[in-house]
Amino acid sequence: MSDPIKRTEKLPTPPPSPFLSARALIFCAAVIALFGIFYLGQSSQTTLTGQRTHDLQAQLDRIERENIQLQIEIAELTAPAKLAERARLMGMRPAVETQVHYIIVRNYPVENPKPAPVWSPQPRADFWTGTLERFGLAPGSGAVEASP
Amino acid sequence: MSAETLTRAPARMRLAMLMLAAVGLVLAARLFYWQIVQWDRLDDLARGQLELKTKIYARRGDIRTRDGYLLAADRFLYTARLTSKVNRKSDTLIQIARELGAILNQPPETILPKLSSKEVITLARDVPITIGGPLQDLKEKWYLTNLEITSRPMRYYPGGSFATHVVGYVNLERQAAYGVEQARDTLLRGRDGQINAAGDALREVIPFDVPMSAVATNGADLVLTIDSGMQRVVEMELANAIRNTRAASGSILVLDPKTGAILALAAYPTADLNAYFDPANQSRYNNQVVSAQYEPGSVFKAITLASALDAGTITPHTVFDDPGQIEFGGATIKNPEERVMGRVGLVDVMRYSLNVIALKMSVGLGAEKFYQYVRDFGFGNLTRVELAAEVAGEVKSPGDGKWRDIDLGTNSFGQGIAATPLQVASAIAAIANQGKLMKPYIIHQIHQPGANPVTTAPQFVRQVIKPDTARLVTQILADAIVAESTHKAVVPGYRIAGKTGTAQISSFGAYDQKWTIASFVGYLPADDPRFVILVKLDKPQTSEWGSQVASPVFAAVAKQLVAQIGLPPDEIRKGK
Repeated sequence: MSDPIKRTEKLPTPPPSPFLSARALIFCAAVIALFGIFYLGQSSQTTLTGQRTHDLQAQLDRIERENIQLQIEIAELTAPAKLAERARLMGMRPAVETQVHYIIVRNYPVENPKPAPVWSPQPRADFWTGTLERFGLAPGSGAVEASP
Repeated sequence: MSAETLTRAPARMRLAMLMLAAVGLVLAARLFYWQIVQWDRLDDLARGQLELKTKIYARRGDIRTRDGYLLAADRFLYTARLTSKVNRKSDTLIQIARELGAILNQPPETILPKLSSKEVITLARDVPITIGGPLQDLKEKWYLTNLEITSRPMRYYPGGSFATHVVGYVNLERQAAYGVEQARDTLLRGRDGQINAAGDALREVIPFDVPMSAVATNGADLVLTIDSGMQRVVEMELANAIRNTRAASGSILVLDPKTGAILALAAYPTADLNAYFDPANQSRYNNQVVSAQYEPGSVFKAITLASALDAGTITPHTVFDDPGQIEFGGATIKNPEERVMGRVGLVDVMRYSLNVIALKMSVGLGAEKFYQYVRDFGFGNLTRVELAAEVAGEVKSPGDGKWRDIDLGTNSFGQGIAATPLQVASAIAAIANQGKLMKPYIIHQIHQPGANPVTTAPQFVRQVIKPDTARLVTQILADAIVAESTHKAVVPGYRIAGKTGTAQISSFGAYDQKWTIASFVGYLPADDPRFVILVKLDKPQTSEWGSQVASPVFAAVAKQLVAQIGLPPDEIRKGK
């Protein structure tokens, strides 16, 4: 039994358009160029940011190291022995018992002497708070009244 | 190219093609050799030139006193070297020399030959950032690829010999020795990091896509319980005492009896912590307060008294008969200065420091109970204070093979028993603190980076004696000092409790006949103690007695400490 439909003829194919293929090439080139520009832009941006971060990190390290150096210098200058010597040179001397007078106030609530204040690192204030503090405008930076 | 074509080609062409093929084969072989066979080696070489492994130093934590004085910190020191000749025009070289000279504080004429030298020349070694920073700027400004600048952290102690025995030191190899530095090394040390990245000609990191393999973690900052003012007082008074008594060595310790916090600790001999490399200093860093045990002598009678009163074998009204000497354990035990007191009460037992009566108390108590109390007071055990190289002392007890009958007698007045000054002060602090033994400690706060500070809570160890017994012992000790109007430990205006000690020094199984260890341990105010102060002087030359050489030092320290904290005299404090 033979096939009722015989396909003996090929369908005609349109001739290749030189205009279209050129457009496709230009389009592809443009896309590639765009990608290239985008990539280069991002890449240079990353490099710049990396460079900036690196510079800032180096600057931070240096400032921290300078800060440590300053803290050490402060500690050297405020060594108890040095302070005592400077006080002595300024004519100060330890008080003897006869020079200390205690004033007894009757019915005054007696409190045990408070221990020396404990050192703790100060949290870093941000720029805005720090600026406000300098001008005494930050919350809680007002003058503290002397308590009895 | 087919065989037919080759056959048809002229002979010269064939020769040329063969030669080209041969060259191609050689190139391919070389390519194979370098790219495949030598790949590992070349890759390593390339990485070595390009890859930069930079160690990021973790900063070792700072150590501060309780009031904020910086005792130890890491600082960065810089070393600058010229690795080869600087190739620049002569006027540029002169300008560089001028700028370098200004930084290094050297005349440019001395710098100029160094810039032209072909050898490696060190321009500056271990200089602070005040010089290292500008050197780095100069390197970048003139693009000096052959100026090599390296930095490394070094431990620095701004106070020099201040609190030497508390702090300890870290050497050039970053190894900690002695004190808190060694005891809390892992906490302070932190962890170094490393950057693996591409480097430029200056051996600086190229900042594009920096893969950081390990981040550095800085060490924790420590705040000690030490008060810088009190520390200054005890160091000064110890130096005075050593000078006045010509003692070989000594120590002073101040404890807060209610918490066990060490407020000040000084020992002699001492040395600058920044001079640890000097061999002459090596033995001077040893902290006698925790690392050297001694026989405490008569100070221990306070422990014997407290134990006997607490066990109920004696009462505050017990009267002893003192014959001046007694045979015990095959030996004759005598009182100091061969004193014979006859009938005597507890206050006089302490006042005259009677060995015979102390022996009677321990014998009355019995060995088992006596040693139980001794151990409960902390003798023979480590206190676990955060200071390196602590020793436990030595307490013999029946059945351990070393103990003999006579030990029960001699131990009662502090001979034949070994303890550290910290153990003695801690035991006396338990009496001052209503019988509660507290664990001594020296770290007040730990500041881990990026975390909230952790404050050490005072640690209660055990109730050694009853509070009433502690009050009785305090009263007896204070009365014994009051009874002796010329007692050199007296602090005018304040009632103090304490006990002197004059201990013989054990040496090769016998006691040294010439030298003693003179000590005094006391606390004040007796009714509400704020300080326990231990003074110990080894081999004093002006007098062998603790009452003569150690008691005045106690008084001198105590007077200044009460002034420092503004503690009014007893009468004013009690509102009388």
